[in-house]
Order: sequence, then C-alpha cells, then structure tokens
Amino acid sequence: MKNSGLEVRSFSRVSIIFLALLTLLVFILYLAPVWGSRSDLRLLSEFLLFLTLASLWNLLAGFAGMVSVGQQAYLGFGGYFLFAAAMFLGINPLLCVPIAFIFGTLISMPVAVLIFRLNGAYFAIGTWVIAEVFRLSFAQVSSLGGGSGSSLPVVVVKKIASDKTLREYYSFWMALTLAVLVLTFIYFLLRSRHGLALKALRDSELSAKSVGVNIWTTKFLVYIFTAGATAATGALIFLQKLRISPDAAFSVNDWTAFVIFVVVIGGIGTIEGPIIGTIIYFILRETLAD
Amino acid sequence: MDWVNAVLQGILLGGLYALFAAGLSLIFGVMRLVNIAHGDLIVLSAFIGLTVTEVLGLSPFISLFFVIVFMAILGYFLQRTLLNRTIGSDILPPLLVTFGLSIIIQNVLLEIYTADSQKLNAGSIETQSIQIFGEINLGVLPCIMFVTSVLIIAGLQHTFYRTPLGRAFRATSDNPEIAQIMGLNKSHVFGMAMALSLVVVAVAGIFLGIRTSFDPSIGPGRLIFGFEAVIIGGLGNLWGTLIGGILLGVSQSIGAQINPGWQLLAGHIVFLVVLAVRPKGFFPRVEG
Amino acid sequence: MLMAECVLKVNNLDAFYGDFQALFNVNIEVKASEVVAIIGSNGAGKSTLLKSISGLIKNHTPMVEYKSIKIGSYRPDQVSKLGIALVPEGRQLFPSLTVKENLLIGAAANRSSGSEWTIERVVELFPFIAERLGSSPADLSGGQQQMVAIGRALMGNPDFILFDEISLGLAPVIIKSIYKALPNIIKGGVSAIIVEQDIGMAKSVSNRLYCLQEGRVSLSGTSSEVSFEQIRKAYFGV
Repeated sequence: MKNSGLEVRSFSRVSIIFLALLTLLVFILYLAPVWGSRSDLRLLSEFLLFLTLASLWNLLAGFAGMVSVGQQAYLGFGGYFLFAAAMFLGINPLLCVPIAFIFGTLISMPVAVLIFRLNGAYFAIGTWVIAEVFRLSFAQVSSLGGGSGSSLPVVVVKKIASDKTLREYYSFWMALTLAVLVLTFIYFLLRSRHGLALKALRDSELSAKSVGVNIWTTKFLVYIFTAGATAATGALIFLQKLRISPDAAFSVNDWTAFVIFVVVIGGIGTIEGPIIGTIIYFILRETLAD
Repeated sequence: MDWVNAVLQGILLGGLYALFAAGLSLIFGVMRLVNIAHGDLIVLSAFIGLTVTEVLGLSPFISLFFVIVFMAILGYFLQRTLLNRTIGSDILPPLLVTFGLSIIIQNVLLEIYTADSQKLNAGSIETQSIQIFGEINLGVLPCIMFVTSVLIIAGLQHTFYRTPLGRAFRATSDNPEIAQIMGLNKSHVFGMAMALSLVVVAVAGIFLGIRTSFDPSIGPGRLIFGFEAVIIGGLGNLWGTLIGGILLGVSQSIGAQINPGWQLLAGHIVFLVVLAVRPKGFFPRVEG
Repeated sequence: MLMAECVLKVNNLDAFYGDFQALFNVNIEVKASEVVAIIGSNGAGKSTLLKSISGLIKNHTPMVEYKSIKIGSYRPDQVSKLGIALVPEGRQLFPSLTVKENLLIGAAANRSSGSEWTIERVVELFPFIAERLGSSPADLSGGQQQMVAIGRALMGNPDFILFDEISLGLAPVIIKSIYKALPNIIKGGVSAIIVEQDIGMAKSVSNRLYCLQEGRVSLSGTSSEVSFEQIRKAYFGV
C-alpha cells in the first residue's frame, strides 16, 4: 500500500509526555508509605477507592448509557464476600479482593439478564430493587451477623500481616493497584473497538444496532465488569472499615448519592470527569469538616 | 384459615400499593418521567396530614382535603418551575433532579419532624372489623381504603378516557409538538398531570399514615412498591396497576405468614419472577 | 406594492435548525380570502416556513406578522389561539385518540370565529367520517387520515389555514377529491397557504404562488400568469 502521506497517530508527543508524568505520579504514590503519614495513607486510600467507584459508575452510565442507582448491591456483596471468605474459609483477606471481583462478576450475570428487560428510568429503579434484595437477603444470614452485622475478627485481620503499620501499607497498595488497574482498563477499553461501540451505543442505540454493534452483549459485558470491579472495591472498603452491616453495605445515600454527585460535578461521559469530581468532593469534605 | 386471612389482608394492602403505583404510572404515561421522589412525596403528604390534624384538631379524613389541595398546587408548581425543564430525550436530568428532590425532602422532613416514628390517629374506626365467612375478621378501615383505591383508579380512567383533560393528556403524550398546534399549552398540560398525580399521592399518604407508622426515611421503600406494582401489572394500564398492587400485597402477606422477616423479600422475589417470565407485565399497554 | 388588506406578513425571515440555516431573508404576504401556494423541491424550506409561521420554530418577533400582531416568537398554542391552524406534514393524527377525539382535540383552543365548525359540519365535508368516528386512526387509509387531519384543523375555527404537503403519499384520485373540497373549507374569508409538490395542482388552486429554492424565494407571482418555464427555472435555480 502506497503511503498516502496521511498518518493516524494514536500517541502524539504531548500525550507521551503526559503518559510519562502519569507514570511518575503513580510511582510516587506507590512510595507514599515512605513520604506520607498514616492519616495521609488512609485519606489517599479512601480517595482512591471512591475514585474507582466513581469511574466505574461513569463507565456504566456515562459511556454505556446504563444509569444505575443500585451499584451498592455489588459494593455490599464484595464486602460480605470478603468477610465470609476470610472468616469461614480462612482465606487471606487481601486475596479475597480479586476473588470478590470474580464472584461479583458471576453474580451479576443473572441479575443483568433480568434487569436488562427494563429501560431508562425503570432500569434504574430495577437496579435499586436488586440492591434491596441483596440487603434483605444478607440481613437474613445470621452467621454474618444478621441485621446488625459483624466485625472482622482480629485473628483474621492479622492474616494480612501481624504488624499494624504493614497491614495499612498493604491495604493502601491494594487500593492503589485496584484504582490503577480499573482506570487503565477503562482507558484502553474506551480507545478500543469496543469503546467505539460503546460511544455509538450511547449516542443512539438504534443507529448502533444498524451498523452491527451487538447491543445486548456490549451492555452485558460492561455491566458485569463494572459489577465485579465494584465488588472488589467494596471488599477493600469494608476490609479497611473492619465492620460490616446490611444498612452500611447497601446504603443508597452513602454510595450512590456520592457517586452521582461526583460524576455530575466532574462531568459525565469523560475519563477525567470522575477524577475531577472526586477531588472536589474530597476538598469539600475536608474543608467543611472543620 | 390463616392463609385465607393472609391473602385477604394482602388484597386490601394491594389497594394501597395500587395508589402508590397509579400516581407513578400516570406521570410516566403522560410525560415519560419517572419521579424518584414519588415515595417521599407520599411521606410528605402523611406529615402534612399530621400537622393539619394537630394544628386544626381535625380527623385525618377531613384533613385529607387540605392535603389534597396543597399537594395538587405543589405538584403543578413543581412541574412548571423545575421538572418541565428536565424533560427531553436524555433520561439523566430528570433522574438526577428527582433523586436530588428525594434527598432534599427527606432531609427537610428530618429537620422539621425528627426521625421519630409518627402515626395518624383515625379514632375508633381503626379497630372496627367486620366478620365474613364466620371466622375471618376484616378491618373496616382497610376495606374502606381498598374501595376508595378502586374508586380513585376508576376516576383516573374516566378522566383519561372521557374528559377533555384526559384527551389533552393523551394527545400531548402522543405528540407534544402537534398537540400544541391544537392550542394545548404543553407546560400547562404537564403541570396538570403532575397535580393530578399528587392528588393521588396525597390520598396514598394519608392512608399510609393511618394504616402504619411512618418516618422521613420510608419514602424510597414506597417508591419501590409502587414501581413493582406498575411493572407487575403492565405499563400504561391503570387497572393492571391495581392487579399489580394486589399481587404484590398478597405476596408480601403470604411471605410474612411464612416468616415475618420475609415480608419484603417475598414481594421483591415475586417482582423478579414476573420480570423474568412476563417482562411486559400482565396487562401491558405501552412501550416502556 | 399590494394595497389590499394583508393578513399575514413574513418579513425577512431567517430560520434555523440548530446551527443549520434553512431559510434566508424570506418575504411572503397573504391577503384576506387568498390562497397562496408555496412550491419548491425537497429541502427547499417549505415546511420550515410553515413551522415558523405556526410557532413550532421560534424566530425573532417581527419576522412573522399576523393581523398586525408580531408573532415570530409566539408558542404554537398561542399562535393557534389567534386563529392559525396547521395541517401538518404526514397527517400526524394522535394514535391514542379515536377519530372523533382527534376532531374534538382540534377545538381545544376554544376559539370561536365567524364560522363555527362542528363535527357535523366536518362530516358534511367528508361523509365517510360518520362511520369512522370510533375508529383508531391506524385503521384509516392515507387519504382518510388526511381528511380527518383537515377536519381536526377546521375544528379550531381558524381564519388562516396552513396545509403542509397534503397530497404526499396519496393516490391522484384521492388528491383530486380533497382539493375539490377546498373551496368549502376556506369559504367565509379564510386565507390559506398550501405547500404542494404538484406544480399543476398548486397553480390551479391558488391565487398567487411563491417558489422556494434552497431557503430563498426564487419566484413570486399570480398563479394564472406565471408560466411553467418560469417555475422550472425558479424551482431548480437555473
């Protein structure tokens, strides 16, 4: 093929510099235990986990057009999964996080099949009902504390590391790694062929269908990935809290309201939107807390 | 006999759920809007009823008229100033705005009334019952409420299909642009639809308040019941909504009979089953 | 310049769909009891013109003047209350309403004028409607739907009727019968603008005509005097 003189460049010089800076930033963050205090680490952890949640919701609603007010279902599921697996199966809590991803993905499959029968705002409420079902179901499990919940036993917590400081480092790195993985995945997903399908889908389902985009499959895959990643994030959140209860795990106001706030403030349907929104949220929270 | 009783109680409860659903269904039918604050507006009505009964010393049934008028005006005003701006092809703005409204209402109620549980006192009629089949006791009040619910749904049907206002609703819902050319002010028509919806909400709220105790946080739960009744019954069909409400009420009642902690879960599961096998509900009329 | 009483004036109308400009500096006049035809190829801006007059597209206030009232920025329902009725392109009957209800909703503006239109009078005009009052619009043929749409517009007792491509998709025989009813429709001082693809038909039913080409008026004149050659040139912008 003759070189027509036109080139499609995916990586311009500016974006290479940007990428380098980003890598540097991530590297610095991994070194946070060195330069940051314990409260710094805790705040950063929280920030990273919230950022992950917001980015995932943004992927689902902003890019795939599925507005969910029930993502707390998977958040709580991940938390409970970690507690159950760590307490009853003796699995290292940190290992439970990626396993929570797998099981979160699995359980979201039948859910997706069900609620994809609804559209638009009714889909949104349907996701809420699912979260309610999760909440009520877990409240019935007495071995996990029933309606009042349970705390993670010290002996289980010590499985991560016997030293408290080291535990906090591990948790932090886990949160950072999770955020990096999720955000990187989202970034490359959106730049790929599937990302193009998503954007087409968001703009017009009918037109997307007519050019061969398999709507149902695309939506399904995005939904189950988001569910799994949210479950992993939930697992980590409750690992850090060391306590779980149905109301805390599946609260609409805590999680969904936050996420919606962040995404609306930061902008929906952009990659940087959740980042900006989460930053603003945390600035507001820290300054107003005084 | 306990089971028969449970089913009957469930049917009567279903009348209340049908009221929750009717207001929701009406709005969606006319302007494709799902009001996330719907349940909170029901709870708001109950609290307004509470204040009216306390301040004016009236029975909840009399105060109902004040609440109806107040909510109708609120609905019209809310639609014309706020919600009309959100209506369009994007589903996100109305969702976000009504979600925000829901949170605002809950917090305002919390501020004014605290989180304490409240109840509307309807007097001695609350304990009266009638006996049927020799062994079954049906509360007089639930029966009155059920009959009222049926009458209200019949009234809505009549309004929709036999009055100029209903004609305006249907035409504007079909084709908002051309409806305007007929001389219908779209903003006004939507405002009237919301006002009518909140009239139903007002009745639902007072009934709720008399039947059970309530507090600022129970709104979202009512929204979910209304939503489930709409989906079970079928979109766009008000009588279907009644059936949906009854099915939901009966499911919950039977679930509670098996195990008191299973009441809500039973209802949700029946909803999911219907969603799985009859996604369009039992008597659908419009596309969701 | 025309000295007779001018009912509708379109002044230097620019119309936009978002950023796309569909009409450029259009000037149109319609006198009382006049039938004016608008012709032009697809995309020339004919429907846009009617939408601007009826308020479906908002323009600057002075761009459309009806009986000396500047209505360019009026809402469609406000325009309708003044007595301007639109028979929209593609009929657009309300599917959730029966034929009778479609006619009744035409009177939603509650207007009275010199001539009071009722369902009975509409049935006199289009007799088939008598048997179809309870039918759904979907059960009607295209021609029947068009007649109901015209009846619906009439129920508003308009003084001015805009007909947007009423012959679209209809058999010639049906089109003829609809246009035969036109004098009955617009008697009593009613003015009309007819957007029509069929040039011969447009010439024969109208007093004057305008030709639009790519959003501009390319020809205006008395229908009986304008030649097909002139029209051909104006139509294609040659």
